[in-house]
Amino acid sequence: MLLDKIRAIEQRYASMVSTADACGRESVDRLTPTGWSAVDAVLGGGLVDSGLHEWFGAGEGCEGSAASSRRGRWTAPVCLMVHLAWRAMDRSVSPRWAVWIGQACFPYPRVLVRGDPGDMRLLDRSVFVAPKSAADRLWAVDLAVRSPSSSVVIADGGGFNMAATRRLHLAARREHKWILLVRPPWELGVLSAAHSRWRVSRPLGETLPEAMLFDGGEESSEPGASGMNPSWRVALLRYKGLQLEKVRSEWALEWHRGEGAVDLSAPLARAAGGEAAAASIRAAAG
Amino acid sequence: MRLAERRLRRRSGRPPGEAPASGDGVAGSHPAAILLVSTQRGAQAVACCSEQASREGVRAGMTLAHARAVLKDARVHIEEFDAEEDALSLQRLARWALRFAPAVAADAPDGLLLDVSGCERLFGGLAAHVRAAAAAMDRIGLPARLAAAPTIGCAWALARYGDSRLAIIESRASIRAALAPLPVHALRLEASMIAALADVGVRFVGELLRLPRGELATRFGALLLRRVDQALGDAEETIRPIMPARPLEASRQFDGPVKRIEVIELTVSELLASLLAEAERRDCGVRGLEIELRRVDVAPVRTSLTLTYPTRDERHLWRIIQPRIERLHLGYGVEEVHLRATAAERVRPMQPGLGADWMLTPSGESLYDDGGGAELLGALLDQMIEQLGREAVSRVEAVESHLPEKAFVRTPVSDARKARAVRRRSTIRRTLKRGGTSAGNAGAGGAAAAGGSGVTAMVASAGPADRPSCLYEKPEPAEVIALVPEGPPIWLQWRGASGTVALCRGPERIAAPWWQGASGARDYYEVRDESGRWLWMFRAHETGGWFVHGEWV
Repeated sequence: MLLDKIRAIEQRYASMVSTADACGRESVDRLTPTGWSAVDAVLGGGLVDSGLHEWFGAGEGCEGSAASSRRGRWTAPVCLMVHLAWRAMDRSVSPRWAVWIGQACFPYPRVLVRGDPGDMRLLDRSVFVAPKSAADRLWAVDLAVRSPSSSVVIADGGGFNMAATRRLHLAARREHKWILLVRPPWELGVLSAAHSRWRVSRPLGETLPEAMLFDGGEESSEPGASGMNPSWRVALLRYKGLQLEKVRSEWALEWHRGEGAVDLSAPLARAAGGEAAAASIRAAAG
Repeated sequence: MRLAERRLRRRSGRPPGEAPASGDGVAGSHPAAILLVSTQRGAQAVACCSEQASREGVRAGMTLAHARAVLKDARVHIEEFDAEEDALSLQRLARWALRFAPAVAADAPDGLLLDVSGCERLFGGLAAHVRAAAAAMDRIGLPARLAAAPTIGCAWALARYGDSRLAIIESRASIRAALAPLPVHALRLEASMIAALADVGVRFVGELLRLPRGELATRFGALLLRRVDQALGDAEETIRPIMPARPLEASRQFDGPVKRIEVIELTVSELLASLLAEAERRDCGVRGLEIELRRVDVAPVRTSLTLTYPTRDERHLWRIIQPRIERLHLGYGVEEVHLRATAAERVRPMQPGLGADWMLTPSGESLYDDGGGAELLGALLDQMIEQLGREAVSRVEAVESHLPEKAFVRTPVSDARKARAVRRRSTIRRTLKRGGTSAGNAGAGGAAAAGGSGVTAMVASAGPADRPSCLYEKPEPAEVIALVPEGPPIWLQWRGASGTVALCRGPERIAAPWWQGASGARDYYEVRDESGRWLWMFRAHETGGWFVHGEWV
């Protein structure tokens, strides 16, 4: 009896969520595709424009080891941020600026140049701000997102608490912009008002097995599918309005050398069930 | 050349008589021959050279390799030719020369025109005036050739082609005789006209002046006659003098000492409004501002600010100024408030294509299509600079260098300069279009040796995108085992962790250009360790040591 009631509540909630996905959110919040098809399928078309999105970087030690959860060295997912900054840049109608705040998220400038010959728009339109404290970083992010001249703000969010993230999330919603915060892995447990939270980790340590390098016995011709490029595993930990337990929420991404962009690693995504997840979402929405 | 030479000497901290030396441009007791080179169509050519190099036979336009061959035994200092910096130096020199004449004009590339009419009495006569100017030029390390004459054309000709270092022609009647022995080049003619005159055997001004005017105009055009007339004083010629800028300032004196901060703020606000109104009349905007409070019995207190773009936006300026005034100590009271624009730049009505220096693309276009965008970003950055400091807000400029740590320069946005950025970025754009490989980046092209422990052999094909997303400020030393000497690594110890190399790609050889002083070449490898981390490592040729220089994160 109680179980039936619980299931009924769950179904009602799921239908509300899917309705919001199908109608409400798309009408209110614009979505910007990430360029990763399987991820976009799960998100209903892309990342919500107006919101704070947190990306947790990888720790110094091996994934899952105690070292990765301890405070120490960590690396911000810079390649992914560059990729998303390009998406934001391509999306904006009038030319605007990408503001990088905090040295932890500063990329080596060469990766801001896309393709060959180089498209230098992102390099030309990037401003780098290096505040010394977390309080200054918060102030700078808040100021940058409110400025009409910025299209996306990428910042080191280390040390931000719930109040800080709420402030930024509200500012991002009001201005209809992305704030992409990179955070150290040991802050995964810190409460946050972010619209979405992502964990970026390195792939498994061993040499990639042939099954992951090749697709059906034939080498994949898709970019980044060779397994010979830098790659990362990205896990979606939270996305407001989405029940993560019902969808696939982990993907593999690879650095595409030729384009200077991050691509979904197609064989890995298929192996991870990205297509199935997208199909299930489409079925739920439809 | 002398301006550039003097600039180099100043930079190297040497006295004017001693030139920088070969290599680093600092050491050495013998003066070095200085070559300023520019790159044209991929080849380096001498743009100009010092007198010593010129005596040895170096000429402008010669390739660098040819010039070095000519100067085989001499010490040589090579520097990139910077025409923009030379022009700025000449402008500075023109301002300096205002002490000798009220009207001074720069005569590019290396001359000054002074209108000394009526000034000679102040120096005890024209000859004394010219000698004083020559002595002053000697003192600042720029020995110059000077000529004073009734016409600009005559003075120009005598200064550049006359026999003596100081030439003085006091009356118009002497001009013709003074010019006669000079080559026709002295009349500021085009090269094609000089060649045409040479074809008919006219090499000196005297020969030219003996020819009938009517035939000259028919055969060589009106320009020749105009130059002749200007030199002889039969045609008007004026100079366009540099205008010493009137200071943009405003001040107010109180009847007595004022200690109330509200009154000071109101006064500053009103002065700011009047200063900006004056700026608008002059079509300029404020880029630097100094506020001085002159206090009773104690020294004045000042605060100054620098903006990223010239502005006349009172609200924006007040947002920055007000917190600063609140922090100033008023002492026993303020008697006078003084506002001064320390830097002002011309601003035109906001139109597409306008913006601050650093808002320009490599082609010189504004990064903003909408008119107000530049101000919006400038307002944001000014607030950030005010709160976080000038060094905290920067942009990145690409520089022509294959060394990864030197390929990009972080510049505070307030320091960025348009022309420099445009040149550098267009240079790097060319480099990128060429595929990022040239003399300094010789891909070794070899395959990483296939070894045991899962090392995969791969052909190095280093493209321009093969750079890590994170480059360490200083390469970090690592312990490495390679199967073959100078081969790719198969085992790695770094930051306290060790393990086998899962994947290796390379090498790509990168070295500094020989003309910038040889530093050791490096063989770079992309290495994936056991934890899945992709590192950018190199083996230093000089020491054989291994270093981790970056990472894909």
